This record gives sequence, C-alpha cells and structure tokens, in this order.
Amino acid sequence: MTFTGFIGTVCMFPLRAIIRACVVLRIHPNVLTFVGVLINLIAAWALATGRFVTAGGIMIAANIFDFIDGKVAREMGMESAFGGFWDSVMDRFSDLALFLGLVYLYSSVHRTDYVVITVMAMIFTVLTSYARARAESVVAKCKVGFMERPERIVLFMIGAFTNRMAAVLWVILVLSILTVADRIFYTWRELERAKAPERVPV
Amino acid sequence: MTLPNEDEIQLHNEIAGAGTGLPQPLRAVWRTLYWTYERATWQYDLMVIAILAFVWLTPPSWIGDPHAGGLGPIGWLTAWLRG
Repeated sequence: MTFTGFIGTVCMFPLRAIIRACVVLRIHPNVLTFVGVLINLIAAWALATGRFVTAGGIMIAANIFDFIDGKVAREMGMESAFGGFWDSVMDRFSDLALFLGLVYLYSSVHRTDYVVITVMAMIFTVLTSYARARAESVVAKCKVGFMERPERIVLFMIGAFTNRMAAVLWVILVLSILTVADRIFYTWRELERAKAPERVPV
Repeated sequence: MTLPNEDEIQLHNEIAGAGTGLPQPLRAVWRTLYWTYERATWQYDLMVIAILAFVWLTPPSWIGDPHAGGLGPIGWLTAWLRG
C-alpha cells in the first residue's frame, strides 16, 4: 500500500461512522452539501481575518460534509442527477469563497502581489473544473492533471495549519495551470484520434 | 481490485506519451507535467512528497510570504552555514 493510500484508509474509519449516523438519521444528502458550504463560508471568514489555524479546523468540518454527501446518497439509494449537479455547483462556490477570504486578507495588508497570485489561482481552479466538464461533453472522460479539488482542499488545510499559505498558493497556481493545459491537450488528442480513419488490417 | 486490461494499458501509455519516442529522462519530465496517474500510486506519493517539501522547506522570505513566521528548515540551515 502506498503512503497516500494508507492515509486515505486511516481517514475512512471515522468517516464511515459519520456516514452511518447520517444514514440512520435520514439526513438528505443535498442538505449535507449545503451545510458543508455554510461551514466553508465561516472558514473563508477565518482566512480573511488571518486566523489560519481556526480556518484549518473549520475546513476539516466543512469537508467532512462535502466528502460524505455522495456516499450517504449512495447508501440511502438517493443518488440523483440533480444531487451531482448541486454538489458540483456548491463545490465551486466553496472553493471561490476560500479564495475570496485570502484575497481580502492580502488586500488588507496591501500585498497586491499575493492578491494577484490568489486571483490567478482562483481563475485556474475554475478553469480546471470547467475544462473537465466541457471536455466530457465531447469526449468520454477527461480525468488527467494532478490538481483536483481534494488535492486543493488538503493543500489549503496544510497551508492553514502550518502557516505556509503563500507557498500553498504557488503550488495550487502552478499545478492548476498544468492541469488545465493537460485537459486541453488530452481533449484535443482524443478528438484528433476520433477523427482519424480506422486502421484496416492488411 | 481489478487489473487493467491490455486496451486500458495501451490507452494509458498512449495518453501518457510513452509512444512519443522521447528519451527516458525527458519522458519522466513529460509524465510529470502531463499527469495521468491515479491517486494512491507511487508516482502520486512522490509528487505529494515534492509538494510538501516545497511548502515546508522553502524559507517564507524567498517567496515573500506576508504571514509566515520563522526561517523554515532551509533558512535555518543556510543561516547556520553562514554562521
């Protein structure tokens, strides 16, 4: 088992109990998604006021809701197309709220350079998910690139808990740019391949 | 756990650019930039280690971090070497 696989397995133990509790209490998965967003807004406020450790703790709570909603829906047999759509839209909102908190923080200390870096990271975060959504309307699957939402959220937490948010923003920015480029290249290649005439065996 | 079939492996290799004829070191760079690996693979672990090293080891002053305090491990080391 890999290191990250091991961490994932360990984290799943408490999460399974929470999922079970939500199923027993019959909490609607869309409500869980919405509660996660509300908690993320509080995390964004904590980031905006420079309380990184508090923000990190709140982000953990918010992302538990965010992580379990799909699994609760599956266990309750309540998976729906709207649920998936609602979850995606709310995820983008949560992401942007966190970035907005950082924009507020850096502008309040007159750090235009980091305002620009945060806004650029925000732009490429949106483009990452948009590129995949748009690509998957023309090709079967577009899951290339490293920087997806779980990676981004874990990085935000690491930055918050260890007070290294600036370095985290650089990582998110660079890897998000690469992810968008990967998705554009992958989609172009897949479409070119689909256009090519089928090889006829000689 | 199901093993990928031959078609999936070929598709992965094609997508990863294995067939582009690049020499080995360049192919490794290409595969790092053009990321096609799943989570919980050794390549993913390596990337995570590289990211954490950058985040935790880079002295905050090098990137002008407005909030981080302290020198960071590399900063301490360079300060110690300078005496």
